[in-house]
Amino acid sequence: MNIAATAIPKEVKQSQRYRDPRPFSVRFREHMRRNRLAYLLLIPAFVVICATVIYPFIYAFNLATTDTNMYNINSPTKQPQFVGVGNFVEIFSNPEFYTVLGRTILWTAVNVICHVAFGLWLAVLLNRNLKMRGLYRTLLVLPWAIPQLIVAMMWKNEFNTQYGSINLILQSIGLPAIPWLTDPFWAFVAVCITNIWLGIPFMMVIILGGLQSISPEYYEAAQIDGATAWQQFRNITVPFLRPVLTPAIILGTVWTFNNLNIIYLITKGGPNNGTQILVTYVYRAAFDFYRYGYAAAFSVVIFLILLIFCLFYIRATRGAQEV
Amino acid sequence: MAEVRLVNLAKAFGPVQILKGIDLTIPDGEFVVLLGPSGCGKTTTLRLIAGLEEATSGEIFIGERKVNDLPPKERDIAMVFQSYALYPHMTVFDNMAFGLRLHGVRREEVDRRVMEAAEMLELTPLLARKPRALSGGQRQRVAVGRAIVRNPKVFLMDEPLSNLDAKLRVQTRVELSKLHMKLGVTTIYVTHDQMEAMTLGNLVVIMNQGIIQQMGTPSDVYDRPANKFVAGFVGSPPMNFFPALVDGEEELFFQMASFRLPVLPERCAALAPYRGKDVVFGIRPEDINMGGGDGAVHIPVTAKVDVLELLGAEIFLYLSSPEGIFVASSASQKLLSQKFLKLKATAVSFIARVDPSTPAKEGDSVQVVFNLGRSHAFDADSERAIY
Ligand SMILES: Nc1ncnc2c1ncn2[C@@H]1O[C@H](COP(=O)(O)OP(=O)(O)OP(=O)(O)O)[C@@H](O)[C@H]1O
Ligand SMILES: [Mg+2]
Repeated sequence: MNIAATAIPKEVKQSQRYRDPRPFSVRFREHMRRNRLAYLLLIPAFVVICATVIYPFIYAFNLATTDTNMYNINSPTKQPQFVGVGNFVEIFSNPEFYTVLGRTILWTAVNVICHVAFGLWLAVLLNRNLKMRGLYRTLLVLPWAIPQLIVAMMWKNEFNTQYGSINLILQSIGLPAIPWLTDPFWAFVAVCITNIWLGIPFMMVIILGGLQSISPEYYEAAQIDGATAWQQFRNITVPFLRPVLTPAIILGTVWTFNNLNIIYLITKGGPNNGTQILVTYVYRAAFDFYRYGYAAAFSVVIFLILLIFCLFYIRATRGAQEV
Repeated sequence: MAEVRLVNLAKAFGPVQILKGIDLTIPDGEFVVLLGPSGCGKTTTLRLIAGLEEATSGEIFIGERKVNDLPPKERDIAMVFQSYALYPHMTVFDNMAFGLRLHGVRREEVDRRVMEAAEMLELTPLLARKPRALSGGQRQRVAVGRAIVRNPKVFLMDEPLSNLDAKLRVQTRVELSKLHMKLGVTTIYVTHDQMEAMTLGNLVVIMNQGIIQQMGTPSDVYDRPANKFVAGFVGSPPMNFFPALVDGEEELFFQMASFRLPVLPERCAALAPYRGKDVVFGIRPEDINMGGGDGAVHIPVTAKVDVLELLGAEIFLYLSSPEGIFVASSASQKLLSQKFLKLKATAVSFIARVDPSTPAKEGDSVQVVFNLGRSHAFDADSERAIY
């Protein structure tokens, strides 16, 4: 590109780039006249996006700079006060924030890594010439089709210390029962297991789609070249999957990072805040402590964390996507 | 380098028998072309040799070794795929070096061999590019390069030129030919394009429906086809076939639906057993000429020009002989088969390939002469060549 830019003589370049000499207002009117129908058709979508995305977004940013809470939000006597970055200062000076942030990152990493690893493993198995492949595929996608509420209830019962089947199995082989929902560490393991189980089908389906688009000739060429199964996986499967895995991992990370449902339904962030992640923390601030301004500021922090993650991740994988 | 030998090789996919016992010996260093219509099992044969598919029965030898149970990498072969199968995320250099690296070849040796192959194929300026940034012809050369750096005993190529445009195909064909002369590696080349087969191969193997029909030099299969399939498959436009009855007492004739042609004296012995029976008379379009003929051996046949195709250097005339009244000699009349009687009423169409100066127009009635010295006759049932 640079070479081309320097090679073209200045006069040529200028003559090639046509500049409309008329003033902006004239050009704008003409533009609107020509594209009137297009803009007209865009209006409904624009209105809906404004109402559901842009307005709440601005509202939340605005809210984050106030001390809005249950007592002043609709009160005739008290008004919410502008506090500037006060909420943010409070968030970052609270040591619990860093504990919860650390746990959220751990939660996200464990979940996404397991989703990708198990999803990849199952997809590779399903991509072979198995008998009854359709049946396995359906069974494996099933967790996805069940409403999350039901999944959470189901697993909550499985984790019951006395009659949950996991402990029954452990005890039947002579191991001690695990205090799943009463010990902070085991409660965290429990919510992870549930969410991993729930998230595998999505990754599996995405990866299976990617696998099926790889022409078998690549593997055959590699076999003739003398590649082992592992070398074929490293040199063909992984690079070919990268373009589908990148968006899937970004989505998976954002979803998991913000996954309120499973934790809220199984442990409510307990015991002793041992399974609290950032979104459950925000939820509690907003709907248990009614600190709307503070919760909004917290949401902004979460948004910024995810935004930075996405930017880094996309930059880090852009080279590979060019395939 | 090695000889490749297939012994009674068979392959079935489920209940479907695809290869029905192939016996083929490919001499060391030879360039052999497998030619056949779509679906006849050429690719399957190649994949069996490569070890990408397991034989149902029969044996495959590369050199002295029986390779049936060896995985592809131990067979010491290289394959060029129709789609090239270049790894899109690797540069040209890496694509060519991949197999060598997997075999643990030393780095300097990898560099040396890749550079050498790149030099030979004029790929040196492209080594840092990804396949995406190459033209079809360049990709094809990289695929060939990937095969030759490995120094295999045998090259297997499955329609490597079919993705190129006509002009590039001719050019690459010549280059492949030169490359084979330089390297002298046994090469098995699959194609369904007979021009490619005739120009590239020292030996051509013609396949149909999982059976080898004929193996020979290009001129063997063109001039002395072993059966009607080979005769009709090789050559474009294809050989003309006429259902005919061998008629006559001392001198024999081919009695066609509406005309008769003499059997040349030197062919009479071969055709004698067919007296009174159906045969198929075959003649190539270029062996039919315009003109009056001398009346004795070269009996003119009257035909109508249905379509005329001018191809620059030659003209294809699509002719039809008029429906004629057919009278067999009394000796063979009672021997006539039902099949022949049915055919006699229909006009016969055939193609002649003539000089562009020929003054013929569509709809004209013209006189043509068959060059009987270059005609063929096939058994009507077995379709084997009688001569
Ligand atoms: N994996 C398979 N399972 C079932 N049938 C197959 C399989 N592979 C090939 N066949 C069948 O075997 C026959 C021969 O196939 P093959 O690919 O060898 O043909 P080909 O001669 O290479 O044809 P083409 O010129 O079209 O490439 C075809 O009828 C095809 O449908
Ligand atoms: Mg094929």
